Amino acid sequence: NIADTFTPVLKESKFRETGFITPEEFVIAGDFLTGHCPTWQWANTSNPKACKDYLPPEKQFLITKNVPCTKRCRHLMESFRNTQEKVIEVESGEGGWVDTHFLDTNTAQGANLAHEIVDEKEKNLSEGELKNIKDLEREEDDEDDDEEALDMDEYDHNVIDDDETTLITKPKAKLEEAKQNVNLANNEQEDEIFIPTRTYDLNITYDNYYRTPRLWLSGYDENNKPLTIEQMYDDISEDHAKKTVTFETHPHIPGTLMASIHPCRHAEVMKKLMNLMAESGKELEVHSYLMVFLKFVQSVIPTIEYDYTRNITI
Amino acid sequence: MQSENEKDLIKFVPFNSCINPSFWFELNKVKLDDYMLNDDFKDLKGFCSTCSSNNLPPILNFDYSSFKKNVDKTKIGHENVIIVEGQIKIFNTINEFNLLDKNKLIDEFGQTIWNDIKSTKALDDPNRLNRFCLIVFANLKNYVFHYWFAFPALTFPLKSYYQLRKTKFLDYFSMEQSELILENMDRFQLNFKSHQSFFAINFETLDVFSVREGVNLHNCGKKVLFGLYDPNSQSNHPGWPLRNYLALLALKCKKTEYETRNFEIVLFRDRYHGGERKSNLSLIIEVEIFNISENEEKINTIGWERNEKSQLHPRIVNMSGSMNTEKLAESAV
Repeated sequence: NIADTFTPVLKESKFRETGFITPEEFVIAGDFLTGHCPTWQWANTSNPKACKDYLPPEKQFLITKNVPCTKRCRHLMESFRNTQEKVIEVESGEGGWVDTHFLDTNTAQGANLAHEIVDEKEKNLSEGELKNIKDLEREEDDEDDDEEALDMDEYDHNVIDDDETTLITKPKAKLEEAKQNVNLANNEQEDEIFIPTRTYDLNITYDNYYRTPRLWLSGYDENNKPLTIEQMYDDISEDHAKKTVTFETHPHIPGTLMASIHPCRHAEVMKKLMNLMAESGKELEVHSYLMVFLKFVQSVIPTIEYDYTRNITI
Repeated sequence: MQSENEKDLIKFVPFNSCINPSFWFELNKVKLDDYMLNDDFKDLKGFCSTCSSNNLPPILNFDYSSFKKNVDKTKIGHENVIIVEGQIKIFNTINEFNLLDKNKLIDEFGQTIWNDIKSTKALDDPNRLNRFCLIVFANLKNYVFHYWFAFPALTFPLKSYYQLRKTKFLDYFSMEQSELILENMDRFQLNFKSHQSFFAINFETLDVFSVREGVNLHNCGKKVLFGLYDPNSQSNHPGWPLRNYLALLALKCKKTEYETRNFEIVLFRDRYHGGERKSNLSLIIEVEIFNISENEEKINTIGWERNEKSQLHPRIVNMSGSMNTEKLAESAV
């Protein structure tokens, strides 16, 4: 990225006025994040040429892997609509980037509130709704099966492995049957059953052009196969899916295109959030920058369950 | 409730492979630039998080950095990652891939592990107990990859492991004790260049030691809990790494006059949520182990990964959507 290369590195700290952070501040915030949420780790780059010299070589970007994502966004929206209608307000035109149920709630702890509602909602999901979700997912599976015409003429590899001490994960459809049977049998829980879920790998890089962190995602389906771009849109909130999420080459990871939340409005949003915090008498310290960033990113990818400290209130 | 005669066979949860798209890109590159037609086994690395999310099965990750030699954790920053060393063989034709005797191959891998256990190698470096083998046929023209992982585990068909008792870590130890153990555990890890998958806890002092020291203490008659970072989260079952670990303990710990003996094993599940460390999934299980000897006659190796339909077949992934240069150019417009 040429713009990135030729943009001078930001030296002077003025994140409170502008929302921008310097590479040094990115490192401070990253250290704080990895210290508190060790599922996040620093990573270095595979390609020495891609190494950004404004960041320490061993702290080029942040990474967290195998983050579960059990629901699609539309399922979340459906559940919201069913019980908590007033939470979902149609986005007002101005500042359309900012998620409504994140910022426009009047309480200072809007974000927390939104989380609590999600949690509560999960508990309240009635059987019927659960079934709906499963039906939806099963439909998806049927679609997937078409792709697998590839292994039609399967060669018999003749592998013997009838070991009774291996817990075999059954394919998803059968699993759900099994789970329902377990429910019917009422607590006769011999084997706890994993419901296979989608997972995501998330990266945070420092974007020198926009002078903000930037989030990258690569997703896997229930069988750990990479998700296609279209499939990943399921996990990005409708308001953002085609607007702010783009597919580009990752500055450090070679090869494929990766989904990324475009950082063009990040500084602005961060500034708003800091103003909001200031109003309620709190001041954002630079080490918490990424925590707040991750909280705000949650409005874009609400169903991806990555870890961050919720102690920071806005 | 189980009666005394009816003991539960331990069921282990196998690893699930998870391959980042960047792995296939890198594989393409090394195949074309480096390995070329050479189809010998090459070294490869997998990564297993020590603090994975709840509700996920054990996952072994592969990405662009899997091909790198000498991954030094101090440089790469994978502090909470166990590096699993294994080998990859890239076939030149699908026929060779299909015709390979898979049972023989996994037996060879199992034999290596068994030899490591018999010699001092596994005691010196217990991470060697975690191994994998990957066979690949890469169709570089259309970016379709046939692949199959094996996570070799030794079984002794006549000598199974039984689970007698299961206690939650937080019920077994008091709050102060568990905090002390966590502290000691972290200090113990600092002594090593790469994260140790296995460890031992002195029951009296709650000090954390290497497996070798643990075995010595145990053989001196001290009460030792043997532990491992368990990548599994289910409350009823341990993850795959326990398998070869039990074989090591059964062979290296001093035998009693009886046919079997019991060990207490710590399934340490280091989880984080909301920025807080949680030990509530960690378990201590009491395991009954048969004595095994160096000239065990019947050893099997199992561990080929099942595909998405739960069959013992290779998997196929089509990366043309994201690796095909023409398509990439299109979508970049």
